[in-house]
This record gives sequence, structure tokens and C-alpha cells, in this order.
Amino acid sequence: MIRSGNVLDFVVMIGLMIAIYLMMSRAEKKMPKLRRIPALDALEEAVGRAAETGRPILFTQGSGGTGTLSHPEEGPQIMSGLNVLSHLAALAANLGPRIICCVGQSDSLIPTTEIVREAYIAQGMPEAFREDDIRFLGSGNAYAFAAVDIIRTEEVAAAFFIGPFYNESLTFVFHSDDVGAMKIGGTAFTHQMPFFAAVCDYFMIGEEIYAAGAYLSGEAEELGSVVGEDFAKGFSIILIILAVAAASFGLSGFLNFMRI
Amino acid sequence: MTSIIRDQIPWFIAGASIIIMFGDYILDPMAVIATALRNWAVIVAAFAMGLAMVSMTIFHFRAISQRQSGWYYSICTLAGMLAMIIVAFMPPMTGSAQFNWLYKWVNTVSGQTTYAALAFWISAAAYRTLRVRSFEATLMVVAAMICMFANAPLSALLGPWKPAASWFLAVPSTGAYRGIVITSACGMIALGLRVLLGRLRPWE
Amino acid sequence: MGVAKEQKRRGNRDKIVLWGVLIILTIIPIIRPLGLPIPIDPMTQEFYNIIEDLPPGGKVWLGNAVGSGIIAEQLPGILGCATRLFEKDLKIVIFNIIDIEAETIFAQRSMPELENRGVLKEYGKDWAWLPYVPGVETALAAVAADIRATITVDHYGTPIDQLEVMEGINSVNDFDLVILFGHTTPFFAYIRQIVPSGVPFITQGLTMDLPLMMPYYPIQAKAIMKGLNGAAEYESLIGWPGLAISASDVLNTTHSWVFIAVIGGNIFYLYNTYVRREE
Repeated sequence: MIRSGNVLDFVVMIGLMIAIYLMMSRAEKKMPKLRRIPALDALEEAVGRAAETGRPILFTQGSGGTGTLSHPEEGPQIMSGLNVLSHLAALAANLGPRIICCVGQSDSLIPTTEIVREAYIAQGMPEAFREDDIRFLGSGNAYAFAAVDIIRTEEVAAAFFIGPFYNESLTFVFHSDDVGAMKIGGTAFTHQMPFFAAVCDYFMIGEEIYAAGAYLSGEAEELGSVVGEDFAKGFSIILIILAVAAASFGLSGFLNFMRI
Repeated sequence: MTSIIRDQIPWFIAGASIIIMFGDYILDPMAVIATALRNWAVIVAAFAMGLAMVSMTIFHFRAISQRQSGWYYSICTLAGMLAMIIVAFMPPMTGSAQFNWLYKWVNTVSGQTTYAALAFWISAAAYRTLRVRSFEATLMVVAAMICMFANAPLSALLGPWKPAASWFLAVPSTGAYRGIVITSACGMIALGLRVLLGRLRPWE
Repeated sequence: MGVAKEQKRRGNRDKIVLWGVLIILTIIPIIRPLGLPIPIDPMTQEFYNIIEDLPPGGKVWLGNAVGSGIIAEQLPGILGCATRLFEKDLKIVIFNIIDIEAETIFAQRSMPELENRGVLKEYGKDWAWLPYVPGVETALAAVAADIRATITVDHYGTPIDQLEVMEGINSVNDFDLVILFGHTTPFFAYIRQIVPSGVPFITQGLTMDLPLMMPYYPIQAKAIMKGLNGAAEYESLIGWPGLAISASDVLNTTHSWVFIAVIGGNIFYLYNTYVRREE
């Protein structure tokens, strides 16, 4: 009936979710302060730069295939990227530059289109929305080549790479660099982080992309959830220290308890 | 009514899916529903692929009809897509010689090209980024040089080089990656909770 | 503006030199192999030993997730491993899960080479080749729990109940060893879905994925063969020189060049920053 080996994980996750929820509720009384995330602070600068130079902005979330949104690792990153896109599209609608979205996942084409459309409508500029600028480019290598072509042909002023990237990441940032674009990246995939960190002007590491929506919206509850994450991290640290101590001193009872 | 369709129903579907998948983690009887939900997600994604193909076809047709810049590439795109669809349906479906030829000599080769091009990008990135600008940067350069050269088989003949690289991989690098993975996981839990509580509505 | 232009020009010139020499150092060892030595890494030795220690008649789950992007690093590894598995007295079942391209690439690249090497044993009796199952990790979990509920026919369309090698094999628990060739997505899927069964698990990782895989060694992954290097070492251990050994000279020359280029770049940088500035 109950899966062995997962009980403690389940209980811990419930506990963490309760802690995060309590932080969200508490945030309404006292607004929490997050540390600065330079990559998100640079959003307005990037859009402004694009508006001044008359060149478009590029937004892309990496390649994928079918079922990316339901993938356990890719789905949350895509959702976080779409969160950033909604703010980015609002800024673009306000300041004027075109925003070109290169979509490499078939199941995120519709959410991407609707998010950008809604942003333009909310800013009172529905006529400025161009559905042709939301392009599905296939997946994998076809998407990589097509996106590079768009970067070079349109000579984008700012390029945003936020989501699950694979081997195409370095290709994108280098070609963006060649056209003189400002590059803002973010991924939770550890195998692509070094490439983004090496070449992007601003970069978000791991959980910073999950906190992006909260950071940009500034809403108390969302900020509270980010504070709750810190509690979850603190708890993880305590658990790791206890497990290391138990393993070092041969406390097999505690280790067996952790395997429940 | 519109608000129920636009807000409440998607929220209910998202919340129920989260609870079912969460329950599947701990309860065996939930496996049947969870498996069905995963299969439905795959089916929806397959239909989304069809929709994306339609969208792509419309875009390229428009580019050709309006003679937009690069319209001839749109012809190539549509021709390639059509060719793969036709040969994939030729008997015995995806086992036909034509499909295998196109797959092997067009698709696979382009994948290998993208991957091979990384050699140039990575070498240029390493050359640009690994500069001893500060104390921390110097540490990074030293660690990167040791780990990079350890990938050359000859490094095994240079005494402690490979053991040093293995230490870097096994100790500081592993610790850092574990930290990033744990914090990313905490972020994902918070994101899921926000969707469950309706604070984050990606469908809007 | 002039300074920025000059810097960009210098950067482009550096890139041309860097890439030009890289191309030359890639081509020369291919045309004229240098025959540089290939010392064996302890992890590759462990990978080799685990396979050698399998008892006669042992059942092996060979997980193939080699897509088009990672052929260069993983194809020599899966070829070498498959060759050795076929040479030994083992029952092998090849699974194509996670990567949609893996089955086709195995058919186009690996099978002809295995046939050339003459190692393939009797199909159906000694080995089986199961088709791609869509659904990524969901499919893997389903197959690991109950193979027959998810896969009914093999790659050739034959019902798997008719294959002698599949007798007594219903789930991952019926195997003696699980081997995976793929990148991080299949690796983590196997860690979550296969490793909890307790069956020993070994894998070959891409060089750039090694930092991600190392946390799981040696508890979850008993051995991790390190990229193309590891494949070259494995080929020399099993006595079947192939693509990896032929590429090891290229690895030596190109890595050495990038190493020298970075050191040289830093020397120029320090000279320009401290010596020339003083002048």
C-alpha cells in the first residue's frame, strides 16, 4: 500500500510545503526582502537598449520535443521562463521593441503565444502584437540552426535564454555575442551553467529562475514562498550534517530511519 | 461562466494533477491513475506537436506568398518536412530504406555537426573566460586547466595530474553541484505549491 | 568606439588562430595516427571488471539512449561494450527507452559494425532487441516494473513471448547487471527508476556530464566510464581497437593545444596589464 523508501521523503516534502505556505501567509504582514538578482534587474536595461537601437529582442527556452512541459526537470524551468516572458513582453509592449520568441517545444507554443498576446493587451496595445514573431522552429538541431539564423538575420539587441538548454546553448550565446546583443541567461541544468556563465552578460543559476516570477512581480505571497525555500534549504543542510555525522560515527539506526 | 472556464477549471485540473502525482510517490494504489495521467500528458503533447507543425506550415506559407526575406529557405523547410512525412509513411513505415537514408545522412549528421561545432565554441569560451584577473579567477583557471588536460589520455603519464583532476571532480565540484541541485529542487517544490494554491497561473 | 573596434578585431584574430590550429591538430592525427599511449583509468578498469565478473548465462540489460548529438562519444563505448557482452556467455536484452533516435541509430551504426565483427550470437536465444517505448521516464518506470505490460513485440515485430532469451525475464529485478549509454536525462531516469531495484548499474557518461554523475558514484552507479577517453581505454582492454582509440590521438593534440592557448593568452594578458602599462 505504502511505498517503502519514500515515506520520509514524503513527510519531509509535506513539512517543507507547510513551511513555505506559512512564510507566504506571514509575508502579507511583513514584506520580505530578497537579495538582488542582477539578471532580472537588467531586464529593463536590455529592453531599453533594444528600443534605442531599433533592434528586436529574442527570447528562447531551449530545445526539447514532445512532452517537455510534463518532463520533471524541463517543465518547471519552462514555466519559470514563461513567468519572465510575461514581464518581458509587458516591458516590450511599453517601450516598443519587437519581441521574437523562438519556441523549441511544441507544447509550449500556445502558452508562449497567449502570454505575449495578453501582455500586449494588458498594456493597451493589442494591435502591436505580432503572432508571426512567436515561431515554432522544430526541436533539437533544426531549432538550433533556425534560432541562430534569426539571431544573425534580425541582429537582435538583447537575447534571453531562460529554460532547459542542451548542447545548443553555447552556439546561441556565441552568435548573439557576434551580433553585439546583450545576453541574459538562466538554466537549472547544471551541465549548461558553465557555458552560460562564461559568455552571458548576466546569468541566473538554478533556483534563481524559479524565484524570478516572485522577484519581478514583487507580490508579498510570492516573495514569501521564496523565503520558505530558504527554510527548506536550511532544513536540508541540517539533515545533511546529521546524516554525515551518523555515517561518520556509524549510527546505523539513524541511517536506516532515513531510508524509510 | 467565462471566469470559471478560464480560471477555475484549469486551476482544478492543475491542482488535481499535482495531488495525484504527489500521492503516487507514496501510495501504490495511485499508480494506476498516475500512469493514466502521464499517458494523457504524452497524448496531449503529441497533439501539441501537430498543432505546432500547422503553425509552422502557416508561417512558412505566408513567408513564401509574401516573398518575405529568405522565402526560399521556407520552401526548403516545407519540402524537407513533407519529404520526411512521406517517407515515414512508406511501407514498412519508419523502416523504409528512404527514411533510413534521410535520417542517417541528413538528421543524424546535422545533430553531429551541432555537437562538433561545440569544440570551437568551448575552446573560444575557455580562451576568453579563463583569465587570471583576480585571486578567485586564478583558482578557477588552475582548476579548469587541471580538469581539462586530464581529459587527454597522456595526462595519466604526468604523475599526479589525473588523481588531482579526479579529486576536483569528486570533491569540490560534486559538493557544488549537489548544492545547486538541492536548491533547484527546493525552488521546484515552491513553484509547485504556488501552482497548487493558485498563486501562479501559467495558463492565464 | 575605436578601442572597442580594435578589441573586436584582436578577438577575431585570436579566434582564427585558435580555431585554425585546432582544425589542423584534429586532421593530422586522423590522417597519420600518432600511436600515443592510452593509460587505463581505475574507473574504466572497474567497468571492465564488473562485466568480466558476470557469471556464465548472466542476464544483462543494455540500455541504449545514444542520440544523434552524442554519437561521437557514446557510439564507440556502446560498440565496445556490446562486442564484449556478445563475446561472453551472457543473455543480453537491448532496451531503447528515453531517446527517440537511439533505436534507429543503433540499427544504422552499431548493428552493421557488430555484424562485421562477427560477434553476434543467435537472435532470440542469446539476445533480444526491444523497440523504442515513448514516454521517457514514465516508460522506463513501466518497463522496469513489468516488461510484458509495456512491450509486446521486439524490434523485428516478433512477440517477445516467443523469444527464448526472454524466458523468466519479467522486470528489471530479473537481470544481473544494467548498463546504460546516454546523457544526463537517461542517467537520472535510471537512477530514479532502476537503481532502487538493487540491480547493479554501470554507465558511460559524456565528458561534460561527469561532474553531474560523480555524486552518484559508487553507491548508485558502480562504475562510470569517462567519455571518449574511457571508451578508448575500454577498447584497449577488450582488444578491439575502434573509433575511440583512433580518436584518442586527437584528444591528446587538441586538449594540449587549448591548454597551451589558455596559458599563452594569460601570459599575454599579464604582460599587457602589468608590463606594457608600466611602460
